[in-house]
Amino acid sequence: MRAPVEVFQSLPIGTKLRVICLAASGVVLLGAFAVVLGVQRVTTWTHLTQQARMLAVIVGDQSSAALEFEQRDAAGDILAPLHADKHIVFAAIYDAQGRLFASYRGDRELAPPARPRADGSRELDGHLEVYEPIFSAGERIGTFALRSDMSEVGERTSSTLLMMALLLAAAAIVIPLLTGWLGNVLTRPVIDLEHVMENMRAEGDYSKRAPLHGRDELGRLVEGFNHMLSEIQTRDTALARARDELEERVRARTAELEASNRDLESFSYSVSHDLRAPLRAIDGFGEVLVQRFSEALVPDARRYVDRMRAASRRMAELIEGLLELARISRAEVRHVPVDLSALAREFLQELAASEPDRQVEVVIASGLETKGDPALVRAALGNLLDNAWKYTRKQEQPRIEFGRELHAGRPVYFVRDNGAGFDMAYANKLFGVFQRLHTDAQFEGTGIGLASVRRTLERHGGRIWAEAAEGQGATFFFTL
Amino acid sequence: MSLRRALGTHLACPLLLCGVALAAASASQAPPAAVADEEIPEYVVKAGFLFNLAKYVAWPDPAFPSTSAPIQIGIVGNDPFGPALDQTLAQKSVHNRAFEIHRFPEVADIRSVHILFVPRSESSRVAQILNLVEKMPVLTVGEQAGFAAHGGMVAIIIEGQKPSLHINRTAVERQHLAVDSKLLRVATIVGAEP
Repeated sequence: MRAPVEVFQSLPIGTKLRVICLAASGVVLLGAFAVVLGVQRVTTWTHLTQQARMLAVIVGDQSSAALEFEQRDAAGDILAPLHADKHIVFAAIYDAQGRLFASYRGDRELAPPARPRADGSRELDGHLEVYEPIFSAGERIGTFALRSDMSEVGERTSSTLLMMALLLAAAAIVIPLLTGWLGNVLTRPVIDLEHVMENMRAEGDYSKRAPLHGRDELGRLVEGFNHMLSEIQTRDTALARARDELEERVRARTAELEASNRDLESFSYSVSHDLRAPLRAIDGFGEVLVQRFSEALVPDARRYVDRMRAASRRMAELIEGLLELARISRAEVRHVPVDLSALAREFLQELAASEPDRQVEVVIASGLETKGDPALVRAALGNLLDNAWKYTRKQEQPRIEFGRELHAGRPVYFVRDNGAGFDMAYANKLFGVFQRLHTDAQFEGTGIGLASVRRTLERHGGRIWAEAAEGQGATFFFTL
Repeated sequence: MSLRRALGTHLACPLLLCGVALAAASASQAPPAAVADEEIPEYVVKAGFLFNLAKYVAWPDPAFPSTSAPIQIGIVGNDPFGPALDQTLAQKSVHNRAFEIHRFPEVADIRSVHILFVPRSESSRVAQILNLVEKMPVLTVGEQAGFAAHGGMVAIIIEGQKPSLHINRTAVERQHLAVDSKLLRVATIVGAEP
């Protein structure tokens, strides 16, 4: 059950206008009716009082001879016609001594008093009693009394009330019609405005405008609304254009980037590929020199040739790394289940077999599975484990751990060692191509491994980062 | 109303003597006790009536020498009023006219007055008296029913306690006396030509 105010609030504006007009007119009409009724009551009472007094004077005068000559029957005959007025309760003639001389009684059980009251009119039990002196030749010879029931006041009030009720009923029909007709001036602009707004909300159509009906407050409201719509439409269009331009620009830039990337990759691939042939020639002729002319080479020469050959092999490794990197970038990435725990175990066993003298504590969390390209993931994980193996070489009790942690609710894999570690100030250089934090003398390497690991993970939609301290070991975290 | 009045006027029928009828009768008819409680002497009543008659009768202008000339009342023969008439009319006036009383012991004494009272004792000389004042604007007043019927103008008759008036309208009008219709209404109109 809603409060009446709430019900009224949710009425349509036209209905509200009708209700308000009806209420206002009703109040005014009722007020006017009350005044009219009050005035009518007073005037009717006054009028009837005057009438009764006049009647008393006339009939009193007519009965003077009867009174003076003590003709009671004649007096009764004079009073009898009062029967014509059904409102008269009684009439009476008193002589000069105040004795009841003659009387007339209407249909009611009400007798005139034995002695007359004071001259004048008075209200008694809703009746009117009039006492008028009877004169004869300027001398008072008696009193005439008349009592009227005044029901005419009520009768007139009733008929007026009936008329007013009819008037009210007519007003209740006419006023809403009239308000509906005239109220259009107010409601039409609002309804039009609402339609335009509804259309705008439902269909996002900002092109419609509310029609202007007049220059009043509503008119200005409609104008303001239309102006706002134009503004929104203009901005909308500009926004859409800007968005389209931006998309176009992004597309163009992306295409440009992709093209230059492709060019760069094919360039580095071809360069790397083409560099291998002369290297093979250097190494091959170095080998021939050592095998065929070993007696002719003085020890120094022999040493130089060896170093030349080592450098060319190292260069081949670098080229191999670069080619690997290019391959990763160009390879098609598959998404199949990969058992990371098994891969790590297999790889560490291979490393242990290659250096059976080293004692390394290995911890591998079991059951770590993910989806990815088996070959790429194997290479990346191998690279990380290889690093860990390499940098713990100088550790007395080396330890390598592979596992998984939850960072902010997401699984993160890690490879942790207690090896050389590095200074976190250089952490951002860690994953660049040819970027090395250690010299070859400390730990051999090409400076390409972590770059290809990062490329692999990025191609899987993951990323890699590291935490370490110098001499405290390092942890490489990655997601896939 | 009409039923009540009918009941009242048929009071004589004992079958209708119910309470309502009694109450209605006592209210609309004169209560007999009220009249009986003070026995007013006959001639006191008649003296009052003579005074009252003066109010309801208009004489032609020449009947008075001036606008304040007194109304003259004459009594023929033996005065039956005693002091009653003098007492009634003392200090009284009608339309600024006082009263003067003249007593005419013999018919021959009669002069022109405004009201001439012919007592019962003069009934044998009524015709003679009326003849005498025939041409004068005199209101003749008698005491018997026959007085008005035989050329007199007004008869004041008291039977039991109930007074009644008989008026010979023709006689009154012949002398150009105007009798108020209110009086005519309560009186019994009698006689035509004498």
